[in-house]
Amino acid sequence: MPELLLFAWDHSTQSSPPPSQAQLAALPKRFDLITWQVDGWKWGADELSHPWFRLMVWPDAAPNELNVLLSPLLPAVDMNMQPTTYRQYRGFHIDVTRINVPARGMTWFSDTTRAAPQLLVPKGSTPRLTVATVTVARAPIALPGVIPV
Amino acid sequence: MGVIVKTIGSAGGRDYSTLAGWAASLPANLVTDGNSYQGNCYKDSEFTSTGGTSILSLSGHTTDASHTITLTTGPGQSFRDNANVQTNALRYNAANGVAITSDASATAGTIHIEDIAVFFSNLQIKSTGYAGCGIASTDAYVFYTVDDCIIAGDRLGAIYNSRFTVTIRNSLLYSLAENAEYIVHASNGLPNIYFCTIVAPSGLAAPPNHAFFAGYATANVVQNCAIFGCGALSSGTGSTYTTCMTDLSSGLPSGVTGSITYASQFQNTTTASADWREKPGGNLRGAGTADATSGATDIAGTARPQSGNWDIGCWELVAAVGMALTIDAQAAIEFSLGLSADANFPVGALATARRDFQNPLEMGLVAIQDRACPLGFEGGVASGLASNAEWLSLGFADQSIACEWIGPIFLDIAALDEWLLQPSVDWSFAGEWLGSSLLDTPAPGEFATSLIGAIPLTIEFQGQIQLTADRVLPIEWSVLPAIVRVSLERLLASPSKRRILGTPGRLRLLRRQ
Repeated sequence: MPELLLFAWDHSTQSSPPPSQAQLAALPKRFDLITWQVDGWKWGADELSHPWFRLMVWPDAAPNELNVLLSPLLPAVDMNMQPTTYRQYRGFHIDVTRINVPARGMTWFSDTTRAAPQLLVPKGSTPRLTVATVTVARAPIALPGVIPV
Repeated sequence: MGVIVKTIGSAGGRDYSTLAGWAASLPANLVTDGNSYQGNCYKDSEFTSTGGTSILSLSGHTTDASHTITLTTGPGQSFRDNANVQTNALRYNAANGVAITSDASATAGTIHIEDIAVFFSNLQIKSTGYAGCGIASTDAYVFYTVDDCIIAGDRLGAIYNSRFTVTIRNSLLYSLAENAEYIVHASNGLPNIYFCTIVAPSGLAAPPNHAFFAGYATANVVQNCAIFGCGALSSGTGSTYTTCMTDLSSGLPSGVTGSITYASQFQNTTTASADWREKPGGNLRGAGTADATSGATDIAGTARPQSGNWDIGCWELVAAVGMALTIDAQAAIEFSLGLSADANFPVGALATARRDFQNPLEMGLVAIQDRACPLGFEGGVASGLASNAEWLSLGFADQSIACEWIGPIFLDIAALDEWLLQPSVDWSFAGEWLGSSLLDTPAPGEFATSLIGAIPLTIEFQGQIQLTADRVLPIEWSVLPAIVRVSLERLLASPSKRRILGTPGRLRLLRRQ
């Protein structure tokens, strides 16, 4: 029963001063999976209460699929092995609206008070909800002045 | 400006249970935020990630010299704080303190960093990923400092894609992998490296190609580093080496002493039992350059220098202190306390020496397998029978043995009381003959004299001697201006004299000056 620590803060609109494009690429983005742990993990006090985080309990989530969500998006390179896009914190993120109860999910995710400490994705839903089902790839961000290949 | 300190550990009750959670909580701009941020790791369990990605990524943050990011350990949590730090094998071992590992492969690094003004200290970091590395960066302008860490990498070494803006001090950097490319890799000039041990196991069929790889010849400093087990020193130039040592024998720049025997420098250099603590008696001892800025303490927290020695590498040999051994000539010699690795003591030698050997005291009271090492001693001998005349031979000691000075000598039993009343030797005086009721102060240069002792004759002695490496300690001491040897062997060997009974005494290793 994996437990997922998701990032709910949007540095691009909520951090002041707004980070640069390069910084935004490197920083966690909204819906990014920060880490996942096994059921019963003793999360830290800030992980449970910090308004930037959300905790989702997802019994059916497969570890190997969750690990994909932890991978950075590596920069594309040109023929000279020079990067043409930014390295991003994660290459994939979770689309909360695709889980079984979209409205509930977004409401929970948007609640900065974290009144509901965690969201439980019901086990054994039909059809079975997999991580891959709700995973979305992040779009590459081109480096300034570079035409992506 | 403040420092926001957060605790990180899995035991519950911490601020964060994961490194990733702590890192994600950092503000994007620490300068406008006005604070520095520090994560204090706890050894609740090994920090581990097995998803093939870095366990910690620090990137995208605005920092400056006054608004920094620090990852270190909580009080008492580091391998450096371990009660057995002096005897624990020096390598990655999660049982010894906070340890961080991941199976991140290739250039990801167990820790990935692109920020500047980041400080790592007291940590153990290891990569288990295929062709992985400990701390990695991209080609970004990274600027971080590593102090007092153990970093174990795979084929891409301990440090990957660093540059001349990186500083590494008092750390062990190594790779256990066959066919590793290097131990420290840098895209633009090597990091500035001080008092580090940079090694690969001695038994690798295919050792790392180079200890260092440096893209571009940007200037940097490599000082007081021990570099062993690699196929070559460096691919790339630009480094200024100062008092470094290696087992390599060719292609070495100025400042690197080569052809040093690897196995003689460290406790164990094999993959299975690696222990890169410095071995006493090795060449690293005292061969470094004084540098209180970068090397005030070693990786184990030992203050540098010890006995004036600035050792090369991350380990500073501790001067032996307060360890005693018992000399009882009527039984086997044994230490009353554990003796440091500095000393190799053939237990039982003196039991054999009870016989009238010609030179029993040179059978091996103690051999110090180290460079010069002060040894304090106290004890005594006495003649066995009353009404017997004994004699002592006084002479110059072997000048190859540097006897520094000696404290009081008493030659009659009455003086024993006086000796016992002295709480300690006055270490400040050197070579003053205190005289006795039985013996006049020898004249300078006097080679030998004899005395007729009162009955029973008792000699109590105490002082300090400077032993050279692997020398057997004779009982001898100096008085100004001569050096005096009490030739006990002659007492023992002389058929016309009574047998000497040994009285219990002690040899005590003293703190090096």
